[in-house]
Amino acid sequence: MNGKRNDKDIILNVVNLKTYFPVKAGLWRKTLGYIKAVDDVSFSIRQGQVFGLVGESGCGKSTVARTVVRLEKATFGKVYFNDLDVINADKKDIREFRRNVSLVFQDPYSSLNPRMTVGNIIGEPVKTHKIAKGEELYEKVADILERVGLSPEYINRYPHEFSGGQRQRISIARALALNPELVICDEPVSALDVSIQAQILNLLKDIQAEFDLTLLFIAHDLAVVQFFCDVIAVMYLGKIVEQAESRVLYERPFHPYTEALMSAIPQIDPSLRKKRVVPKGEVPSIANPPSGCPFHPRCRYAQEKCSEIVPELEEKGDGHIVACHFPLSK
Amino acid sequence: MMSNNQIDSNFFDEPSFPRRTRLQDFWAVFKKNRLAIAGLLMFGVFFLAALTGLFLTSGHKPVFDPALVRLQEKLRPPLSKANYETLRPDEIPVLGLYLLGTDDLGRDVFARMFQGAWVSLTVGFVAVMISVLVGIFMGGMAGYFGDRHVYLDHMLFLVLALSGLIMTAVGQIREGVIIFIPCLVYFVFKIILERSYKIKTRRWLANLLHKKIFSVDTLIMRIVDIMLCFPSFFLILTVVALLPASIYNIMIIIGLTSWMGTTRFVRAEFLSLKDQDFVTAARALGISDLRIIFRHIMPNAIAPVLVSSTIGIATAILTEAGLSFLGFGVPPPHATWGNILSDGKGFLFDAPWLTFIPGIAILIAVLSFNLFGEGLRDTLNPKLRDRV
Repeated sequence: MNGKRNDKDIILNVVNLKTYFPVKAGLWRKTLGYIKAVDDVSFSIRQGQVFGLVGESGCGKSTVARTVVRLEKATFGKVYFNDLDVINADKKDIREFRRNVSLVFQDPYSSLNPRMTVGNIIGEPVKTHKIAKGEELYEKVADILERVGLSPEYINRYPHEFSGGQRQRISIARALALNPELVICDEPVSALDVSIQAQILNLLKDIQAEFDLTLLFIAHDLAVVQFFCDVIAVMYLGKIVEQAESRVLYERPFHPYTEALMSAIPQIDPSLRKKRVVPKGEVPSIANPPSGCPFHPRCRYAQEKCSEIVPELEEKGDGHIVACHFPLSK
Repeated sequence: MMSNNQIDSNFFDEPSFPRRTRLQDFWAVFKKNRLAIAGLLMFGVFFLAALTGLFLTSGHKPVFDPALVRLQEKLRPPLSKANYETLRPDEIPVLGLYLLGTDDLGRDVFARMFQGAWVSLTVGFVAVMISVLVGIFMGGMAGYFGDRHVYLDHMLFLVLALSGLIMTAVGQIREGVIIFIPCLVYFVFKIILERSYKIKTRRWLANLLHKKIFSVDTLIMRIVDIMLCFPSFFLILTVVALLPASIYNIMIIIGLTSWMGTTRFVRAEFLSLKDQDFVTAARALGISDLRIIFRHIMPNAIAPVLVSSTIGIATAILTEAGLSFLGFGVPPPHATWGNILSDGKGFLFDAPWLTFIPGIAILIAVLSFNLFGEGLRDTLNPKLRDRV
């Protein structure tokens, strides 16, 4: 796909990834079917890129992230990190992989161990991977704390003494402690209030530039992603429906679902306000997805073909790919 | 290098960087908790008393003789004077006083309490320690590794191997070895071939038996259920009847029959903590399972165990008392708080001190440990620290 062009830069390559969860019921725990949380997702992220993954709750964004770092077992497909086949890697390689990829979670209240001091939370991975210890470790932790905008004085405090935004900073500090190549942010700002969101996003942006980090940024808020990402992929019911460079996607969405998402972004300037496009009905159950295009029951442009044939991802030029039989054209 | 060190030490000496070790930190918070300190002190006093009691009541001519029968002086209330006219000089208690009275055989209750302290406290503690350790281990396994599966062949050959070992131990050496050796061979064969040479043994006959039967969680929790089905006192009685009566056997048996509650506690805590983000984060950062269990989950799961174990100590002391009463515990002339208590209950109205004194002693021991335990819990939980 579009990642093939300069393979050398590609840091993460996800190929036809599927993560299914069995639905079990009855006395013998018989498998009745599968929840296709991630259904045939492919994308690649280049070194230094910020890749956004958006979609509404329950569309499988987080599962993609969890599968990529092997917290969830992939049912099918491949994940390559540099040249490492993550899904079939052995223990030693995975250890190395875990050093280079880290996660920032959504909920700053449950992602920090309440019984550990900030210093220990940030220092533990460094110690485990034998990067530093003793005074050196202490200095490193103090240094990282300063980088994320917290005073090194906080090193002996416990997470409950901090506010949500500060906790998220600690979370980010922990993720940065190992100098990772790739940081996966799983909705890092969704649990924060708007003013804090901006602070954290600016922090992430600065850090990304400073360390030349590659980010996989997951969000359900297009306004957040717009500000932040180079490339955006839109997910719907476990599938990527559209992917393009951030500016291209905002100027000209091809997929009706993306259009609907775009119209939901609040605009301050009244002259820029467009008519709200609200998809009909509710998100279908992921355990029982609609036939054909997953979006067709809610799509206002849907035609008969949409309910029968699953649209494939097609390149529309400039790396803009979309899975729609009747892409929007303006 | 020197100058570098210099800078470092200055850097850490700055008052704005309070840097204490874990223990210092712990103690600084713990000592503010007056009740817990009181508990700890009380407990220390009991422990010292038990230790001195161990020396003062044993040997050829002990200072306090707990086994000396003075039938003419029976059921004397506390602080009563010894009757010098009817006693031989060597029968007169220290100070000429029965500090805590005498029992129905005229034995000095103070001496008996003194002697029993060590047994009762150690029984309480060791038994609870065993049960908590077993409980945490089993509960932790069920909670953390619960979704892994047990394979039929592993189960089968393990059970066979164990029964082979038991047969050998019992005396049927030939049959035992015949059963044991093939099982050992099977495991060695499987492990060496599959792990080291990555040859699939699955293709062969063993494949027939290599089936998932149930999860580790099911296995452990069913064992818990089975253990809970038996009234525990009778379970202990049965086992005690098979083993020679000694304090150590009692401790171990009480410990091994009371771990089920802890297991359930720990499992429940592990289940809820295992899916929390901070554990996921630790896993994603490549921190080992053992470290996750002991550094991330355990500190968060330990509080209810700590509190329930303080009550467990009282139960263990009383279970020992019951066993001693029935003649299965500590052999009779040796006193324990439990058997003083149960001996005294026949004289509840004539000589209430016989039940009240050991009862209050148990109460204070348990209470002090309970206060200490709660203080420990509050100290270990940073969120509760400010409330002290």
